[in-house]
Parts: sequence; C-alpha cells; structure tokens
Amino acid sequence: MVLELDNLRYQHPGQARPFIHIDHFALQSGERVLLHGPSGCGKSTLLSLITGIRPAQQGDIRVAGKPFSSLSQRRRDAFRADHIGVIFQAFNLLPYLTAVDNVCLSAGFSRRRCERETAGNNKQRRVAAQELLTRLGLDAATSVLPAWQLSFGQQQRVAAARALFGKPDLIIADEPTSALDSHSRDTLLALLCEHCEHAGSALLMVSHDSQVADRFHRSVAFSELNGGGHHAA
Amino acid sequence: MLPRIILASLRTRKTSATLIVVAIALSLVMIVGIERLRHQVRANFASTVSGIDLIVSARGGPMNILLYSVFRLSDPTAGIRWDTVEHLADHPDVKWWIPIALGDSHRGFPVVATNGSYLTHYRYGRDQALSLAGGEWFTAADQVVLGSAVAQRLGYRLGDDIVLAHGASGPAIIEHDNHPFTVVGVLAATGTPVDQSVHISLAGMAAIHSGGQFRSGLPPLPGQQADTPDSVNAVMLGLQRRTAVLSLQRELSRYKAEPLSAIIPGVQLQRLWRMTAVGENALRATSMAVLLVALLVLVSTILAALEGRRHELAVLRAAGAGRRAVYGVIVGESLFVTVIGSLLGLVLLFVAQWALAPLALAEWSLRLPETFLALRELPALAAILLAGSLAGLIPAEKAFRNSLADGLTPRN
Repeated sequence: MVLELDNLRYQHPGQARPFIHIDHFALQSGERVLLHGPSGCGKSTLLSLITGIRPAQQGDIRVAGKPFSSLSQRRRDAFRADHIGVIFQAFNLLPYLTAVDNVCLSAGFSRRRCERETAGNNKQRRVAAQELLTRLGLDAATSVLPAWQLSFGQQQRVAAARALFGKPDLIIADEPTSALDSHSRDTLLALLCEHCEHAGSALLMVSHDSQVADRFHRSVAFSELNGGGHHAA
Repeated sequence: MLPRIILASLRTRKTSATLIVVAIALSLVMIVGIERLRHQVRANFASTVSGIDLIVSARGGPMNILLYSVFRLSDPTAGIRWDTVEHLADHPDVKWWIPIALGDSHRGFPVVATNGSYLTHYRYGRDQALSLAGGEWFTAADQVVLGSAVAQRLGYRLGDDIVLAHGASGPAIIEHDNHPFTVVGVLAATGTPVDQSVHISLAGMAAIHSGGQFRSGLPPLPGQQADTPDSVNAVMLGLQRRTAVLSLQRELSRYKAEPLSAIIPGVQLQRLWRMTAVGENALRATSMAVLLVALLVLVSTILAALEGRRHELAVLRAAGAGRRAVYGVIVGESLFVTVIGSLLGLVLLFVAQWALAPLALAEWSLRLPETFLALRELPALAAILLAGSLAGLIPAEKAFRNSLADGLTPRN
C-alpha cells in the first residue's frame, strides 16, 4: 500500500463537526485513482493532510508503509520530499526560476529522489531534469526560460515533471487540468498517466470533472469517501 | 539551491531590495563613519602632542592651556617672563624647550612666535619631526615660515611679503603694516594645527608690538636676528627622563618668581575626551537609531512581500521544504541584503575618505583614515550582520505559519 487513511478526522477551528471524516481509504502501489467532487467539498484540505503540510488532528495516514501522520513536522517534511510529488491547480512554479530549476526543486530537498534519477551532482540533476522535460514535450530552448515566460500548458507540464522527478511513490494532483482547454487537458493527463506508469508512481488526483475517469483505475466520489464529513459549502 | 532561489526572488523585487540595501549602507556609513572620525580626531589630537612632556604657562585652567598652546583653540593666558623661560631652559631635567608666543593672526591663521627648537624638537604622529616642504626656517626677525594649509589656502609662495595683524582671530583689528614679513619657508603637511599656523621668530613678534621691548633698546634691522622678547605665553618641554614629569610639574607649581601651571598634555587629553564623551555618545545613539530604523524597514518590507509570496512558499513546501528551508529563504534574504548593504556602506565610506582626504587635511588639518575596514570595527560590523539576520526571523516564522495554514492552496 502506498497510501492508507484510517479513521481520519479534521475540523477547522470553530467548527462543531469534523470537516473531513474518512473511515478508510487505501491506494495500491502504482494505482491511479480519481477523486471527484464539487469544489469546496474539502478535497484540497484532504490533500494538505495527505502531503503532511497540514498536521492531521485525528486518525492515521500511512504513506509507503510509514505512519506518516505521527511523524514530527520536520520528519514529515523530509518524508514528503522523498516520497510524494505534488501538482497544483495553478501557480506550480517559482516564476523567476527556469523550468529546469523548477524541476530540480524537489531534488534539492531529497537525496533519495536524486539517487533514483542517478543524479549525484547538480549537473547530472539538471541533465536528468532536462530529459524528463523533453519526454513531457518541452524542448531544450524552452526549458531554460524563466517559468513566467511559459504558457500555462507548458507550466503544468513542468509541474508534472517536478512531481515525477525521482520517481516518488505517490503523486498528488489537485485539479491540475482545470484551467486547461480539453485538448491540452487530455494531452497533459495522457502524459501524466504514462509517466506515472513508467516511474511506478501511484497517482491520486482530485477533480470536479469526472469525464477523465477512464484514464484511472478507480474513480471515487468524495462525498462517498467522506462519509461523516459535514459540509457547509 | 537556496541561494539561487534567494537571488532570483530578490531580482523580482529589485526596487524595494535596492532601497533597503541603500538604507542599510547609509546607516553603516553613519555608524562606522562616526566611530572612525571619533577615533581619528583622537588620534590626531594625540599625535599633535606626541613628544611633549610638559607645557608650562602662566597660572590658568589646564584645559585652556592645552587648547590654546597646542591646538590654538582658545585664548592664551598672560605671558610668563623671559627669566622664567631661561630658568626652565637651564633646568637639569629639561632636554629641550620650545617657547610659544601667541596673540597675532594673519587672515584668520594664528601667528606663532617661536625659535629654531620648534623645527628640531617638536614631534607629531609617531615621533616625526617637522620638515620643510620648501625654503628654510626663519633666521631673521622679518621672516616667516608658513604651515602647509596656510600656504595652500592663501596661495603664498616663497618670497611673498605678508602683513601680520594684532588679535588672534577674525578680521585684523590693527595691522602691523609697518612690519611686512617675507615668506622664507613652507612646512610639509602634518595633519596637526601646525599646518594652520604662521611661524615667526620671537624677535619678530616683539618687533611688531609697540609694547615689545628690546634689551638692546633698538628695533632689529631687516635680516638681522634680534633680541628676545620680554615674555612668551607658553613653553613646551621635553625632559631627559619621562619619569621626572611629575616631580618637575610639582616643582614648577611652587615656582617662587611667578605663578605657573605645568600640564601633562596626555593627561589633559584624557580629561578632554571624558568631557566630549557625552556628545560622542549622543552621536552614537543617533546612528544606532538610524540602523534600527533601517532594520525595521527591512523587517516590514520582507513582511509586506510575504503576502505576495504565499504561492512561492507553498510551492517550496510542497516540494519538500521544511521549516529550515523556509527560514533559510527568508533569513537568507535579510542576511544577504544586510551583507550587500554593509559592503556598499564600506565602499561608500572608503570612497568618501579617499575623496575628502585632501580637503580634510587642508581645511581642518585632519588626516582621514585610509582603511577599508579596521580590526576594531569588526564587532560593530558583526553586530549589524547579526541584527540583519535576526530581522529575518520574524518574517520567517510568519511565512512558515502561513504555509501551515494555507496547506497546498494558498488564498490569493
């Protein structure tokens, strides 16, 4: 199991009932799962918990067999750097760094991911990042541009490359295609799925759009998963 | 990776970063500059009296004696009689003696009447004797030797005739124009009040004063070394043994023939510094306040920028950045800005020193320091850098808390 949630609760300060209440959820290694539901239902909060950026209040999160949620914040950050790749809806990149530097960002925090790309030093890292970008359809000339000069579709590919770099066990994607037209959306998804397969990474993607479900092994409605959750929105 | 992020991120905020760097540079210029100037003024004063063991004058306030006799900053006391000077000259403890008679001026520059001992025995800086940049020391009553600043400011050359005025400062009240003097020598620059002085012989001084009396009863002929005057204002003494200073000082204070004061210049300087310490501390406090303001501006600019950087920090956090990396980015930025500001400040100071050095020497007889950074300034510099990096801690903690609250998707 690459990801296991047990009895997970989370409530925002001042709320009477938990916002997130998941009894059990698991992701096999290499599995691609789509989590769909309307916006504002707590999907992003769940992803913050799974990535360990927001501390869980109650319950267990295990990532790659590790009791992730009971680690200290510092160990959790280090663990995230090693095992989880993240793609946002937008603003994935540091605008002033080049595409290659953006891809190398997570490698800078994780020796494990560098080793998995057999990139010991800075130069090898950049070569590996460039190769990955090429496979995702960004040529060398584009890869050295600062991120703010890239088109949105290109930015999302760089984001995918950063998440994939170092073949992490789990890739979390938060509506990565929501701002793309349907053609770009399909291209990006195809590339993402292909490379997850290639890297052996499991993919957990949340989206309000259930049309893309056929690219995933499994599709779960957030409302079913979040059985006891209370939603004002 | 972090340095690259810090630099690239700062480049996107060039204007505010530049302003902060300038603010820090200017406060460093103030703090280090004031400290340097203070140190240099003290060193200059100390260098002016470096070789003098005792200054003997008519009874008066010791500080006044120091200020008028060496620094020409105050009005001279009454004179001491020439037989007293002779008594001092013959004293077994005395190695050399320099008579000083003041009271005249030339276009605002004090006129010092003295003798050849001034050239041979007066010491400044590290035991340096005076030297002539041109011409020779006076030998006759109608000859004058100019300090370097006097010659430069008034544009005099060797052979020029000048007229001396009675009264120490300001416009001449009575000009002794029946006694023009000829410039025979110009001293090399020393960075002491010597540069600002006009030197004539004691006989010359006596000759231009109607009250000046000549033992021979006749005024000296031009080009002829004349008589001694009836009195001088002060005598600088160099002793055979420095250990005799205190006993001679005591002895002279009990001198029977007339009331005398003998002062030790070094001791008086220490007292002077204690008196000026209040002013110096006020200046120092002001420059500290300037630094504090610069640091507060630094904190507030970084804090203000944080709102716009929430996405940036969320990206870093998602990529695996922990507290240490977030602190690294923010504190690194404030440290970097402080380092650059400090370097810029030191360079500014160095350039200013270099550019103003000739002016300062000519106008105020003040030698400016030539150092880029002195060892004794390191603590101040370290304190500035430390304060600069500490200033990043508050925004860093806030940035980290923001990122916890924001989770993966920051509010925009």
